[in-house]
Amino acid sequence: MTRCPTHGTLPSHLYVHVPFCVRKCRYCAFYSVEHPGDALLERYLSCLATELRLVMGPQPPVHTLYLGGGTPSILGPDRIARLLHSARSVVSLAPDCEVTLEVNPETIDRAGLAACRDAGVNRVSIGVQSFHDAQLQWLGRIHDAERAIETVEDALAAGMRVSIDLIYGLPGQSGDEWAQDLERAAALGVGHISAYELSYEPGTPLHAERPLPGLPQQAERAKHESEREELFFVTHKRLGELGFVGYEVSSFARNVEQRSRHNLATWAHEPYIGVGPGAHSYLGSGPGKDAASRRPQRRWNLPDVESWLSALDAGGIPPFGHEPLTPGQVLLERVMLGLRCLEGIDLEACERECGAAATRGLRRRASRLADRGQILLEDSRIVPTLEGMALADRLALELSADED
Amino acid sequence: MDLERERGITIKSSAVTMDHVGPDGEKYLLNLIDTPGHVDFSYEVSRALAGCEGAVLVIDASQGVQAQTLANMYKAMELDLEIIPVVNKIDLPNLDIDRVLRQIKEELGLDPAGAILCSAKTGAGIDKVLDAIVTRVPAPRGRSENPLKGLIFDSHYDPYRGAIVYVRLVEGSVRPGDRIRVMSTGRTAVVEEVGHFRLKNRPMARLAAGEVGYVIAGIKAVGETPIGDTITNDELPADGPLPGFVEAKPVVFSSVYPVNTDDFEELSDALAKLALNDASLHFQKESSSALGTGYRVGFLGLLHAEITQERLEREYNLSLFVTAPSVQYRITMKGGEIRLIDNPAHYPDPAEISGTEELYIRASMIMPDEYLGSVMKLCMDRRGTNLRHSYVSPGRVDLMVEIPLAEVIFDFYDCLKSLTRGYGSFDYEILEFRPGQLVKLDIKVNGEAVDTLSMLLHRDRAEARARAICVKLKEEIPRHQFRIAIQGAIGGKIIARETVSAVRKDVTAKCYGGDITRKRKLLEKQKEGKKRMRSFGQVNIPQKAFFAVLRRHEE
Repeated sequence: MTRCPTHGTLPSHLYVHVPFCVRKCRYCAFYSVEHPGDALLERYLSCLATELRLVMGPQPPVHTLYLGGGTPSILGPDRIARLLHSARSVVSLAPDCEVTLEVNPETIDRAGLAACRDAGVNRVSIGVQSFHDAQLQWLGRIHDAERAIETVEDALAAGMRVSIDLIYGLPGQSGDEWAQDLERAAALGVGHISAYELSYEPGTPLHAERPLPGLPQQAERAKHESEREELFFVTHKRLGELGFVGYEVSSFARNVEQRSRHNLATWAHEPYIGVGPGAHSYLGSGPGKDAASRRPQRRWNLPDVESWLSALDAGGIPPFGHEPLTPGQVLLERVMLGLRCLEGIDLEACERECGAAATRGLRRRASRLADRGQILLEDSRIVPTLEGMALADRLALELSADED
Repeated sequence: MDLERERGITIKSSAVTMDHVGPDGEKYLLNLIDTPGHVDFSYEVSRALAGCEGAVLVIDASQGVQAQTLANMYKAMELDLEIIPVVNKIDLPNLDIDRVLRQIKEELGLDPAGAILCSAKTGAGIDKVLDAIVTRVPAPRGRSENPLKGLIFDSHYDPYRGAIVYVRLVEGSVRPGDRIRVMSTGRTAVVEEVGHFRLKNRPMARLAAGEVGYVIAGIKAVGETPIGDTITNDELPADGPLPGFVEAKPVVFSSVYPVNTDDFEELSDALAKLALNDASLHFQKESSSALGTGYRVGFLGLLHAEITQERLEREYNLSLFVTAPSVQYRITMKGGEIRLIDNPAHYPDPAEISGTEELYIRASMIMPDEYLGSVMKLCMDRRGTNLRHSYVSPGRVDLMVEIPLAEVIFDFYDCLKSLTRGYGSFDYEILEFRPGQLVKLDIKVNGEAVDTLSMLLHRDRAEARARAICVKLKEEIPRHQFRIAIQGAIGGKIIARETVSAVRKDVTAKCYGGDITRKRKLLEKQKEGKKRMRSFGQVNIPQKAFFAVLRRHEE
């Protein structure tokens, strides 16, 4: 991270949103468009190059570049290579830059993965989700377990860092079934696993089918909830036994090198720039004249491919929303994100960005959580225990309570 | 009392003096005392009997001889009273009078030919009962000229007159203006009024040896005229008190709290008023973080506890929470000091204790012999020892067992009733303290002992009880923002554990750059909603959870 006295903190991370999918999964709330044709993808690529030119000013090399989606692998190796080329033409990549590509099995083959590697991709994140076909079907995935395994093996063979996504907490999923998935992943030799609890996001088909409050489903829901809670602990315990460290509530790596540097940066409040329809950016404190305009801000392109395309075609920046953050909001984010991570909450950063008084209050409230064994209170950090991680959201609420 | 009518039981003695013309044409003055029959009041019964020459042993024609019939008969026999068995309620349909008469012969060992059949409801046979009293019960022997010896067999409180003392004059006489002395305490008072119990109290010029009546002497509380004590004349005292006086000691203890904490003053007031009329009621203020301020109350037994609660609720319109009953333990300290403890809060450091003892009773249960096996098993499960049984009549056994009082106060009687399909009857007498391995069970919620839930109990009972409480609490404590550990512990040793899982919502869902703003906004919204919530961090145990764990009746 670079700090510039006149320009504040400059982003050293770049995110590219590729909002296209073959078919939307039933649980996914990310912005994406189904069945894009070649013409649309080409248009997207050229507008993306425009956006990169418009938003990236003079700045130091980036340390991570992340192609997320949607399904970035739907672009194909050739377009992916061109996309990376566009990026390189406006910003230099540090020599050890982490370049991640999100991949769905079924959209890329062995040769394609090798081609991506040659274009500069050095890490793939594969949306496996499950090694059980029935569960894959229920989730609305287009691949089966066999295809997923093949993709993982191909990526490993291509010599890239490999992460896979797995989902737990599906109705009827047993602890044993879940443990099998984890063991399978470890046996394949991946260096990183993202193990998510299934969430019923509003607006998704799955949300409509979620167990509703009210009798008689209430009891079932409570049971489902407590089973899911147990699965969280099963996940951390089993993966720990298999040699993975949970460095975030749902992220596990075999060693420090295998951790997602891009994600770690976003969780640590390092500024990053996002491009593409619906992409979010976090801009550190800016070069404004007064305190308010120097505030850090979150900024996001509207999640709409059409307006994004037409604005950029006309040479203007796409429509966006933005929100300057008050010190209180920064603190809430730091707490909320820090409680999810093994690194915890950086109290020195809190003091710098949110003030000494607020940080003292945070520390005071934290002692209660420490008594309950949910966090460890260190000199300059608040570090969640596993019990604490499991309740990160609730504890964030408690830690950031305005009144005492 | 309404309660007595509803339950068909006698709680408080009452007395009446009546004129009766005997079969010989003579006019007799009969003094009748109606006593409670229940074992909780056995001391009162024995004192009332001590004031009599004879006893009418009333047997319910539909129920037959019960354990307490036998127990009360033995009390009368010990006092050498003439016993007249009377079979009451003969107006009821479908009776087997012959069976009852057989029981009188076989189980009570009395001559059934001397039994009188009657119905107090219709009046049938009542004349015969009164005639039998005249002909069979000996006349009193005391002399009016002797120094005054009056047995206090009960007393009740009148808001205008103070204590109205029920006495049987054994020797001497008493009249208004006399200065009397209560012999156990030495308290003296000037007599304002004496009289007979008629339909209303009838003042008399004096009471003399052989008579039963009341004495009013400006004494405020009934506690100052304890049952079984003797009154004498202060200027011309008797050589000594009548035998058999002991101070009534509570054996069963419960905590009583107003459900609405604002009602504490009213509870204090109500207890004080009840105590005016019930010298056996002992109470002491205590407070609990969960239940507020209340009283630790000592009772003579379970019925006494139940009746007291019901009277407090009914007559004083209070809504009360009464904890499950517990007993007293005797603890010998290493220094030799002996402490009686009924409250877990007073339990000393175990390292300082050299021995613990608990109170034993001898229980007597009469039942048809087909149930003997299952009742014996119940007794053994409850740590009963020295079990023995004898046939009181063909097909009916009396099972005697020595058993810790702590084991019978909870639900023993209910178990007995259900095991014997209602045919088993129960009576007991207090034995003595015997060694028993006492422990203090603490219930910890997230590591902190909850004072209100601590209890003293036998080591063998601790685990099952701790488990049951943990399970119950798990049901009753709502989910919080964190996992709640509920533990049962003896000292540092955890003997039971349950966990209330936390309220949570998709915490481990992914949270990438694009999710952060949405997630923060969600938290901001929840924060707004939680502003008024004060229970952050602490476990909020609802009062109903305490009720569920501590209440008397298991549901």
